[in-house]
Amino acid sequence: MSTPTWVRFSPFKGTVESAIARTALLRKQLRFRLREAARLAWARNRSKVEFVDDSLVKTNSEKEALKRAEDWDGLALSYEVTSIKALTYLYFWKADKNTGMALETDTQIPHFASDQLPEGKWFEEFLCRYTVDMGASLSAYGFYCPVEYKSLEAQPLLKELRDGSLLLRPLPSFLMIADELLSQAEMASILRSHKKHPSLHYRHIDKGYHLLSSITR
Amino acid sequence: MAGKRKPKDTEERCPRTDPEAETLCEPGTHSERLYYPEVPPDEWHPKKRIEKMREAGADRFEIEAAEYDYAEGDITHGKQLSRGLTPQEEGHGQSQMILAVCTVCRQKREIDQAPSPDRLVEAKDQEARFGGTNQIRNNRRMAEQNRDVTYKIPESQLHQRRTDTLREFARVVGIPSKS
Repeated sequence: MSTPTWVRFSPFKGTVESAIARTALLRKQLRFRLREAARLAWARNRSKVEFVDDSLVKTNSEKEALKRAEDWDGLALSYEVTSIKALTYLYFWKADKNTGMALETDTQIPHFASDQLPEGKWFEEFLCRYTVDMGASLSAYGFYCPVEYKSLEAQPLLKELRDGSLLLRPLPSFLMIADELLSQAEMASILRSHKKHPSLHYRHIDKGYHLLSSITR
Repeated sequence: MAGKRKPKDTEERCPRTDPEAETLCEPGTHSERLYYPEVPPDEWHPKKRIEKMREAGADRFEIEAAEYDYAEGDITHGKQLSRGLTPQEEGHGQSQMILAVCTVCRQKREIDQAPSPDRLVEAKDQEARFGGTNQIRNNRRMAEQNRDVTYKIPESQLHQRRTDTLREFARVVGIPSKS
């Protein structure tokens, strides 16, 4: 019955090292403190990536973690977000010439609220910033986003969006789609012709993304 | 007069004088207490609570585990089951989650079922990830503090390597799938 905590993205075009570097400023601004690193490994039949339980190492430096991960198929980093006293985990794995990536939070981050921010606002803004900084064309969170180390594919999501079923999926839900995958005119037409859940809100972000989210309350 | 000395990174910092030093306890070192949600009277009966879990979009395994535990007599009141919010409640409803809150660092985490404040049950697919590993560390700590910890997992996962780790400190029960 737990709050969903898993976020998936389209693949990053570059190495694990450059993917981690892309969000250095964001992590600094939000006062992320690295605590541990762990190994991700492809299963023997290359069917899926797995988290290696007994590979955890304490570290406070991404550089050190990357050095240790030189021979690994992927790397998971555990951070304490000291600005809100919560935990976030970043996952990166090698996938052909790209890097697959995912993000996990503790169960309280999606509900975080403060005197200045309504519940969920911090999480929504964080996901928007992370997606933009990574240059991902897609990101998604919610009950339809199971825990798996697989990059998001555009076609199944766009199909569900175009037939309207995605707009009525169980909440919570968060979906960011780059304009290059779906024009603003087509999005407007989808929203005109299909019913959506009343708590699912749409806005267009200046950085070139459609955002459908129910996270902020 | 000597100025204020900046602490070295390796040095223990005091949270009373240095806000940056206020940090979460390490996973597995919390001192947690369980808190139950305020459950509407029409969900006091576990069957009604399970119906609401369905409405809230709980996954099939969580529902099956709750039904199994109700049939076994472990669950006798709706408040012993956590649930998400239903589509009608989204946006304004009060949380319906059982929470474990650390009395030292105040970190909160969700617990799936708690038949009593000293008994907790996690009912989930054991997907390997950092969050799951930290949950295991925290639940192991609970067990060390004489709490009764049970994992209800799909019967198909009973022979996985991760399940052996759970057996070191918890009772592990396989829930047969209805499908």
